[in-house]
Amino acid sequence: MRNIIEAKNLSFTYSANTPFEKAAVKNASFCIAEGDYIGVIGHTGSGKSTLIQMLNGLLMPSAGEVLVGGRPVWEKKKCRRDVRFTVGLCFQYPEYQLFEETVYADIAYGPRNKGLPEEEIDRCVREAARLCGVGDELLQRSPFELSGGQKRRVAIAGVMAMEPEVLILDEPTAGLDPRGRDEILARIREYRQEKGKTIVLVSHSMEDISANAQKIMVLSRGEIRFFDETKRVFEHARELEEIGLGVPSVTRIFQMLRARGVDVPGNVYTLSDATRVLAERLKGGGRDA
Amino acid sequence: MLNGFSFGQYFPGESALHRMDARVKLLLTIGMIVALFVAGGAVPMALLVALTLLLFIGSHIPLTVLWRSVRGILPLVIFMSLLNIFYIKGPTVLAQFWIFTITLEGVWRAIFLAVRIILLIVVTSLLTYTTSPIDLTDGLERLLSPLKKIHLPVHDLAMIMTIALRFIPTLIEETDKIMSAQKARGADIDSGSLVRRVRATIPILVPLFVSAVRRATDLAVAMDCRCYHGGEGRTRLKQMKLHRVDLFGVLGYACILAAVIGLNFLPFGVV
Repeated sequence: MRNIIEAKNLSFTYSANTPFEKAAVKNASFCIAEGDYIGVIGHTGSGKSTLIQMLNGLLMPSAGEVLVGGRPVWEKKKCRRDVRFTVGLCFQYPEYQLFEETVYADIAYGPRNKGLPEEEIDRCVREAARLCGVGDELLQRSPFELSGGQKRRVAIAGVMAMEPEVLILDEPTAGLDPRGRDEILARIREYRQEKGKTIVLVSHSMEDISANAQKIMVLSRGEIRFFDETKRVFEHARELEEIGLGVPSVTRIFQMLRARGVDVPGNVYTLSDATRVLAERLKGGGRDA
Repeated sequence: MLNGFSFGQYFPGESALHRMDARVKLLLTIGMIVALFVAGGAVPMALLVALTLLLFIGSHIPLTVLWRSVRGILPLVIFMSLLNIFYIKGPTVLAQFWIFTITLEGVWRAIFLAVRIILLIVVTSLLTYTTSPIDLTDGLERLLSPLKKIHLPVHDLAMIMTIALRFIPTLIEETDKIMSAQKARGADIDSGSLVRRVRATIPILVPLFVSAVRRATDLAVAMDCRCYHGGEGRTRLKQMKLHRVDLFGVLGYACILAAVIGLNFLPFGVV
């Protein structure tokens, strides 16, 4: 697979040369391949948001460089604006960015900035709305009349409508109830299946990430501690515990079972895997089950 | 982009200026402004410059912080100084071209004006840097409390000011966030014609207003929940008391003002 994003020795320092100087990201190097589903996890202040804002040219790295589609982001100004359409970034609490009179117009804001012809805009808007579960009946309403979950989906649709190669979502489920959370995550999975585009999901919930991402990037104090396939990252359970992140609850239960001598695999990360493993064992009628 | 904004931000510290009573500081700041306008010559102005420098050094405020609040006003200062250089006509001509005449008097006047405005900003910035917004509005409320007699809602005004000051940094942060979010959707804020630029601010202003109103509602509910009902019968956690530093402050100021007035009558350096 071709690398869509390459980061080389990225660093970012806030308030450089003042007493408040703080290194938010330190010397991060990584590649994101086309079609990847990457989960970025870390505590508040671990540099997640800073890192992703450097990937679409919103923040200029203090050192290092970012290549998007092989081209350096900070070389030309024109280039930088194009990058924002290639790497779509959906901020935390994106519903606070809604401003248009109708939901339709708000979703169309991105594609219109991209300079697409009108019929193309219409296609993008309707497709993004469908993918995010925003019904046709909502399109002509004011975004300010909608419920919290609906607003969130409209805002995500606004970024999807730009048809970016990479979709970065910063805590898309923050502040939603469990049902809203599952709905959003399912929409993102569907979008990926249908479009095959790259996705970067930022979250502090191990559960959300492990159930969705193929690869996990673990950030701690501005440094990338791990960046590998989900299974391999969870093998470092103790280090993750030290960072204060831990592994998903299901995995922990299975590891505790193993410690007590129950013969179950130690690499179960999602509820569905757990159900499958347990069902097999019960059917097989094993001694410990 | 907006990180440089610092006017009216408290900078905690332990200096004499920090310890001074907010009411006294408020009055002395007004006094300093009066002194700045009373000073009519180079000598009294130099005295005030020295005093301001002394206060600034004593307050332990970093120069970079102060510079940020002065920087914003510089274009205005330069513009006004330029106007003065060209408009004030005196007998000593320095240079002459086309319709412009630059005289020594005009140059003096321009420098004088620039120094006066910059000192004004520095002195008021020192007040806000060394006084927490809460102390500042408390002090203001206490100073204005005699006006309650004529049914002026002093407490409410002070509360409004406290809240406004408290939310300035929050709103700046919010603006920054919304700007980033819209830029991520391809907003082009800093290029194009004037009309395009004004139009480009709509996607930033609308969400900003919406969130400000939401914040205000939340705050009102939170205050209601804690039984806030205006200033009637409200007591303070921190009683304001005058200390020795306040006395020295007032005495020091009296001396300076006397000196400025006295120096004005000196026969030299009058501009």
